[in-house]
Amino acid sequence: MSIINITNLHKTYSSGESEVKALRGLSLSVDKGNMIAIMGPSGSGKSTLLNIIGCIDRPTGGDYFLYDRLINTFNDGEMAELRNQKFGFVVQDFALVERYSVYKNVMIPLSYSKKPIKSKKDKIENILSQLGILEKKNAMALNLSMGQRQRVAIARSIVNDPDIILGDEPTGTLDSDTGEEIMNIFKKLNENGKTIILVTHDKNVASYCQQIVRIKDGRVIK
Amino acid sequence: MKQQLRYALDDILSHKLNHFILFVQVLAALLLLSFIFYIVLDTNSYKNKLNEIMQDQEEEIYLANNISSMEKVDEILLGGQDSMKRQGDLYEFIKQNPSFKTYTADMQHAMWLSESNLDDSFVMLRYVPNAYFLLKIDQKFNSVFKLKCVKGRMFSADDFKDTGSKIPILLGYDFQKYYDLDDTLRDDEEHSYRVIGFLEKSSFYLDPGKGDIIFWLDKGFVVPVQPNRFDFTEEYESAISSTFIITDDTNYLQAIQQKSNELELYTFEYKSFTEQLQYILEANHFKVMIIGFMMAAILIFGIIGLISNLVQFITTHTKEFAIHLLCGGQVKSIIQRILIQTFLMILIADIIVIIINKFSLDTLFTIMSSLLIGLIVIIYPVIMLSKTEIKNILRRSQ
Repeated sequence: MSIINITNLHKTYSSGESEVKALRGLSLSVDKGNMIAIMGPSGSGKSTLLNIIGCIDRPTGGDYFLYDRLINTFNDGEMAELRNQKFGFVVQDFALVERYSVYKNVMIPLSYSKKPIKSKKDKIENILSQLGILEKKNAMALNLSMGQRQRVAIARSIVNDPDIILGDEPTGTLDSDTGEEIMNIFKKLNENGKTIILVTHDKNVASYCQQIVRIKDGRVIK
Repeated sequence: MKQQLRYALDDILSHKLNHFILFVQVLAALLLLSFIFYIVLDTNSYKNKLNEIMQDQEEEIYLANNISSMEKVDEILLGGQDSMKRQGDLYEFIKQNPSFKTYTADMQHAMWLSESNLDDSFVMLRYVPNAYFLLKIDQKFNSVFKLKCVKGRMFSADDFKDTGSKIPILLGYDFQKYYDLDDTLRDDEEHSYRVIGFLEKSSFYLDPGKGDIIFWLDKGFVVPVQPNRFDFTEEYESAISSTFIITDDTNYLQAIQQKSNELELYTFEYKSFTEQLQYILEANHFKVMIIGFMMAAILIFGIIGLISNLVQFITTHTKEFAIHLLCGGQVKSIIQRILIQTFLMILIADIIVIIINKFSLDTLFTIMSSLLIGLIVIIYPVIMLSKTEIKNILRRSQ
C-alpha cells in the first residue's frame, strides 16, 4: 500500500531574474514499511524532494499525495502538524539545540504535539534507554560524541511515533563504525514498521535499503 | 502557548544580564512616563476645578501673600493687646468693606484631637499623630465653594459668633463611621466642638497660592472663623492672610495695603487666581519638559536596545528555530515566543508601576503606552520573521 504518491512533481526556485529547476516532473511512490535510499549527484534535487516529502517546502507543480490526501493545498498550520505527527527528521549535522540537554532536545516534538501523552518523561526515558543513551539524559548536546548526537536526533525523530522517518545524509559526519551502528538503528526501526526514506551519497548506506531511487536533473532515472 | 512561555522564560534566563539592563531601562522610562501623566492629569483636574469655582464669580479672586520681613512679622506678633487691636481693625476693614466681597479660608492650623480612634489615613502627616486637616471658614466662604451636607446642616450666621458654648464643626464624608451628629469632640486646648453635619463625598477646597493641590475634605474638619474668640495675635495674622478678595478693581487692593500701612502692619502682594493658575501651568509645563526629555532619552535607548536584542536573538538562534520548525513548530509560534519575551518584561515593569503608583488614570495611560512601546519594539523583528519561509530558515541554519 503506497503512503506517498508523487506525480509529475516540479520545483523551480526563483532568484531575481534567474530560475533554477530543481525538480522536473518527478514521480515516485513509497509503500508503507519500505526503506528506500534516494541517490544522485549534487544538485540533482534529492534534498528538494526530501523537503517536499517532509512538508518543509511546497512544489511549484505536480501532485503530492500523503495517505491519499493532496498536500499541495495544505496551509502552514496543517503542514506543521504533519511534520510533527507523521514525520521524523534526521539530518547530517544532527540538528540539535546545543544549549539544551538531551532530554530537552527530545522533548521538542512533544511540545508541539496535540496528542494527549500520559507521561512525556516516561516516553522520553524509554526511547533514550532503547537507544542506549539514557545516562546522558541531562547532558548538554554540546558535550556528546558524534554518535551520541545522532542517537539523540533519532530519539527526537521517533518520540512522537511518526510513520515516516526522513534522513538527509544521516551518517555523513560519522566514522564508519558509528555510521554502521546508526544504520542498524534505522534498520531496526524499519523492521518495527517505520517507513524510512534516506537521501545519501553512500552506497553502504543504500545497501541497508530495500529500494534505491536514483535521481538526476530533477527526474527519477531508475 | 504554555510551551512558548517556557521557551521564552528559558531565553530570558539564558541572557539574564542583558535582559535585566533592558528591564531597568523600560521600568525607568515607564515610571517617568507615569509621573508625566500624573502631572498632566493632576494639573488638568486642578484647572477644571478652579475654573468651576471661578466661572460662578463675576469678578476676579485675589489671594494675599504676606511679604513682610520676618522682623516685622515678629514685631507685630509680639505686640500684645495693641497689635491685637490693630490687626482686628485691619480684619474688620477688609471684611466689612462694602466695595468688594471677600471670603476667608484658613488652613494654617491643624485639628489636634485630645483623643481619637480614627485610622491612620486621616492623619495629616504620618509622623504627627492626632493632628488632622482643619479648614476655618467664614460665612461668605460658601458663596464661592458651595459645600453641602450629606447629613446635618451647614453653618448658620449664628455659628460664626462665639456664644461660649461648643464650637459647631462640620466633618468630612469619611468621618461618618466614627461620629454621629451632635457628638462632642475636644482638642488639646480644651475647646469643645459639636458635630452639626457631614459634608458630601468629594467636597473640596482650592488655594492656588498653595500650588496645584486639591484639598479633599472627606477626611477634614471644617470650623467657623470666630474673630471674637481670637486669643492670640497669630490668629489674626492667619485670618488676614487667608482672606481672599473678590473684585475687578485693583484700587481696593491698594486701599487695603494703605490701611495696613496706616496701622503699621503687613505688606501684601496680591495675585489673582488667573495669574496664579498661569504660573502653576507654566511651572508644571517646565517640569513635564524636563522629565519628558529624560524619559525620551531613556526610552529611545530602551527601544533601540530591545529591538537590537530581538534582532540579534533571531539571527543567533536561527538554527534553533529551524529545529523547532522541523519538529512541528510554525513561524507563528516563534513570533509568539518573541512576543512573550518582550511583553513579559513590560508586564513586570507595569506591575511595579501599579505597585508604586496604585491603580489610577495615569497608571492606566502608562500601561497603554507601555503596550504601544511593546508593539513598536516587536514590529520589525516580527516582520523580519514572518517574511521568512521555513525552507529559508533551514537553509540559513546549515
